[in-house]
Amino acid sequence: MTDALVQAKGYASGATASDLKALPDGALVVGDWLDAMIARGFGWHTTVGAFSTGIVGGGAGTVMLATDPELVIEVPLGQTMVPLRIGVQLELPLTNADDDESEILITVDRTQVGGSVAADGTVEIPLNMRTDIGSGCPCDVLSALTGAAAITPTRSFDLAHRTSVVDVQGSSTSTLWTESHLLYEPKHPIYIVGPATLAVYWGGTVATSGFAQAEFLSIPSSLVTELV
Amino acid sequence: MTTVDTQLQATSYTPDPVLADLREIDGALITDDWIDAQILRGRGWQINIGDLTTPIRGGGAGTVFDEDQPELIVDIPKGTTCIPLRMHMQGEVVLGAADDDFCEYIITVDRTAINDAFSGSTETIEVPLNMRTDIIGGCPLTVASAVTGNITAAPTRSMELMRHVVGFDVAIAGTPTETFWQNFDVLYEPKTPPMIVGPATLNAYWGTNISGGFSAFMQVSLLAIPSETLVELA
Repeated sequence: MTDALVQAKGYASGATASDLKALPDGALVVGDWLDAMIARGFGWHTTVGAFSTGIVGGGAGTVMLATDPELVIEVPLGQTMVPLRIGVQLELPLTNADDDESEILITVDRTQVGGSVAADGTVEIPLNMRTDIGSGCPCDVLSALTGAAAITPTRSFDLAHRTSVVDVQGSSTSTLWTESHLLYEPKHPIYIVGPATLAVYWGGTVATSGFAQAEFLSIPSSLVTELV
Repeated sequence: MTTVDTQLQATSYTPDPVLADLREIDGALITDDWIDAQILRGRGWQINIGDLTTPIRGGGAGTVFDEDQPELIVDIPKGTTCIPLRMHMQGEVVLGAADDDFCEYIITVDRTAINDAFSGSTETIEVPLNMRTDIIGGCPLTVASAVTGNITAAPTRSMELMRHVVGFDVAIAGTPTETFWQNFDVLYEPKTPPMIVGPATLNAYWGTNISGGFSAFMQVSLLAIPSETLVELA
């Protein structure tokens, strides 16, 4: 009988095969490919909103407007973006009337980047999810766009949506909403092949501020598009 | 007994398969989920129901469920298997009209038949988009939403995948007609999803007993894979 010592190559340049490891009772140790991408420096994090000050959502500060996302992640040709975790938290204001509503929406434009520039909003600098790596995210990220977006994102499909409607017994003015937040953290994420854009909106019939945190991979599209 | 070093390789999914070296980090073999691999190969599909800020009113005549009038129909033809990955619904609940009013969501499967040849006259034809966004068209599933007339063959409710209900009652001496509902969302994202082998149908409904109706948005992620991948297994 021959024992086989199983080995696999590392990701380092010129790496040779290393022994695979097991727990003492015989379980082979495995790591998720997405986690490996983060370990290799392909994961990025961006935050929208200041320490305690959210971004006012909506077109003119009220309802959602396609031209005015609160976050856009522009995926250039040659890159594929994989959304890992997007969290949005709203600071709901006092209501004005029954049937006031507040919403959060995460959408994808699968065919184009907006070409937004600093004048369109706030340029965000994504930080690497492996924190020893500095800048260099291949995707352009902007927040708080205010109507000057170079190209309005086309809503190819939605990834997640949150809506809240208010009604109260008696006077609806000066009434408190319940909390509203949306966490999109799919078990099986989509692969947004550039050129494309991911856009996040929030807003309401009364002005609504929010915060957002987005974590995503940006990987070479050749790892994806050659598969059949 | 001797020990032989064996460097692991596997065949790739590329058109001209090649042997790829398997990789490790700190002794851990790097793996990927089979379902994620199907998405990477272009077998994942995304559907959304509702407009930017305008949802779809649920129910038969705009109120309670009618089994013949789903808000989502996914017809799975023979030869294709559908695996639901993520189904997320968000309702804009309406004024309460009376105590014991309710709103509901349900996701069902008809495991033996597809529903209808859709005309678009009493439903909205949906075009699924691929979860690998460089791939255009070609979904083997037929999808419709917002059915407002009875489909030809009523779906058989073989199994319920998910149900979510909220009841309504006002404990104080007030009028339920001016009372606040909480948010009413539901997320079906199973750890071990069913494999719905065509011919079959996946349906989703929402509705309420309140005359004003109950409207909602929905986002759906699912796989459509050749059934031969599964049915030969024993």
